[in-house]
Amino acid sequence: MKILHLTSEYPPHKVGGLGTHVDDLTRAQVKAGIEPIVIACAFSGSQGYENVDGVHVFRFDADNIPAEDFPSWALQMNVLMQNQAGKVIEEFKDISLIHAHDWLAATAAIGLKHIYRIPLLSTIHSLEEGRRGGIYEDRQELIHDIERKMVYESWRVITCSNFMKQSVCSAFYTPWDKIDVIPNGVNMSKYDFNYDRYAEIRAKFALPHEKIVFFVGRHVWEKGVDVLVGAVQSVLKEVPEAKFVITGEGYMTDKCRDLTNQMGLGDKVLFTGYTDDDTLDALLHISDVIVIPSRYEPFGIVALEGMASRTPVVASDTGGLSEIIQHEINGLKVWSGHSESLAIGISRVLKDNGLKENIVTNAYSTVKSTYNWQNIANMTKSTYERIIDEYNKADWKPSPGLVH
Amino acid sequence: MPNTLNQMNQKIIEKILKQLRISPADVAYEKKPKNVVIITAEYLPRDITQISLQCKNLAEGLVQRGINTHVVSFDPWKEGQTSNIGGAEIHYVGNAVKSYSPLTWAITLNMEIGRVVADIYHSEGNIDLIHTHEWQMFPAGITLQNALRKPLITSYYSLQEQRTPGITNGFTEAVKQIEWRASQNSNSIHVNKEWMKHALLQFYSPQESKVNVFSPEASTWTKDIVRDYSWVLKNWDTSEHTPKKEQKDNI
Repeated sequence: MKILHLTSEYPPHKVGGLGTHVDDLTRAQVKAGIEPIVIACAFSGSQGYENVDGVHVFRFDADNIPAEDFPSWALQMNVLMQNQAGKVIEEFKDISLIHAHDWLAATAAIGLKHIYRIPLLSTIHSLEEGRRGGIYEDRQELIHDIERKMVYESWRVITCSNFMKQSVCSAFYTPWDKIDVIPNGVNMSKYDFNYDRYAEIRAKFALPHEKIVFFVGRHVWEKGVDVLVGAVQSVLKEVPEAKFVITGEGYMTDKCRDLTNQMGLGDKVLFTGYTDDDTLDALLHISDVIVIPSRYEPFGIVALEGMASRTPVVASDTGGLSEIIQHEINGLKVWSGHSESLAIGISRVLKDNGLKENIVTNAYSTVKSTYNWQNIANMTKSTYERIIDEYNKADWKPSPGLVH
Repeated sequence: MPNTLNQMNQKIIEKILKQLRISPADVAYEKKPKNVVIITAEYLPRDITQISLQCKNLAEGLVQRGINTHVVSFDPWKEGQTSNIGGAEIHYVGNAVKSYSPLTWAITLNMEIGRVVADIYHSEGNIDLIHTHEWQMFPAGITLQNALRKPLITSYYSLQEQRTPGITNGFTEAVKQIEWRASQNSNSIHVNKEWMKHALLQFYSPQESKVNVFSPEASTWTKDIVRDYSWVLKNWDTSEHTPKKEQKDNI
């Protein structure tokens, strides 16, 4: 079974979690007997072919595409992606299915579907409506329409949570039974390492007696970094040794930093900017609590990373996080967008060691049993098989003259 | 100069054929296309520029010469409909995506154009060549050329550098890149005027031999275009008009 994945991101190029998702999924697919072929953007001259542990990766040059703005860049990038994918389809022949990831690969995928008459499966990782809390302007409307078209044109759709399934159905009137919910996963082996290696890293972020409250993510409205900043004072009243380490960047960074300085908390809140992967992994382990104060979270991969790192997670009761976390069993849920509720959750974990130990043990076991990539690859394979079976019975086929 | 040489060569060929008692038309149309798809942003009754009328004249001229002609054109009011006008099958497409600029409109529309042309291909079983008009339709043309392995003819009516001389921004640069890419990948390029040919050569440097001036005012206009189609088909995959490998790799 040859599956053509279309994605804007693939390592080493990563913007959000999409690249990591496709990387982990396709590696697991190889073990599940699938032959994945990935078409992805390349920057800084990294285009070309690479075999990554059995995954065929074709990167095309997406640098220097002249464009008036990001959506028009993305559309032109899709024209290039489509042409690259066309060559690959001809080279590999008998591609069973096109698997497109998010709107950034939509127009290429839809075109290829019709030209080659290969069934299309889409994974909707998030929606524009959710990312910005609504559709307010022209660019968003374009993206929203492309997302709608992508869902409409897909044979089936995968979402990572029931929350996202509900969001897609309500945004585009999509039939409920067209969508399969398949969660994201984490690579457990990545989090299984010696803590001692990271002792010196901890010293860079906090004093020995301080308890690290860790946030990782883009500093944008939907991630709720401002909600966390709003909780700092209340947490410090309860746990004076708390130290907030906020990684990532975004359009809210300056505002949040200014706010902490105005409150005189500059020494208690550290904005690190973007960090490298090793430091990030270390922070997941050495922190005393991981905080996910999101307002909108289609899935919440950071929660799984925290759980796999045996660090307690306090997260908003929203989106995919609500489905991953069972309150007081494998994490703590707090009200979304509510700083006081968040402060209570953080303080509880920092003060109650029994609760913390319990949560950590259960969380690790949840991740291991449910969110491992081999499970996810097998679930995805079932969706592939269902589509291919239906396609084989359908009249919609390419002309015999077409190469594929 | 190349045109004069061509005319001289043509006369010699006609003389030889006469002696062999073979009709020149039989040779010229040896590879006459049977199925042609014209892609245009407008077609009558939607008439904004000269492109609409020119495409109509071309489509009906092709039909008169026995060529099965499909036209794929944008018309939001007739989306999904098919009409037979003057013997040509007109397929109207709309754009389901609400775009906010000519560039985003053109590229999202190309998704629909690709779908309809592919449907024609799969239902007809074959298409001999694809003829696209103006930059808005070029991305779809290139994609279809590569995917269906069919020759691509492009018609240029003006160039971005002429429309917005000296203006450099994201939009103009994007359109120029689309125009350039199409000029490199086309198997034959059609323009209406000699000065357009010079402009095209100056800005995008395609192979000069594949740039053809076909004036719609000429009485032999359709005949000349069909002759060019035949020439392209005859030399498809083997002629210098076929994109060279390195050009294809840059698509």
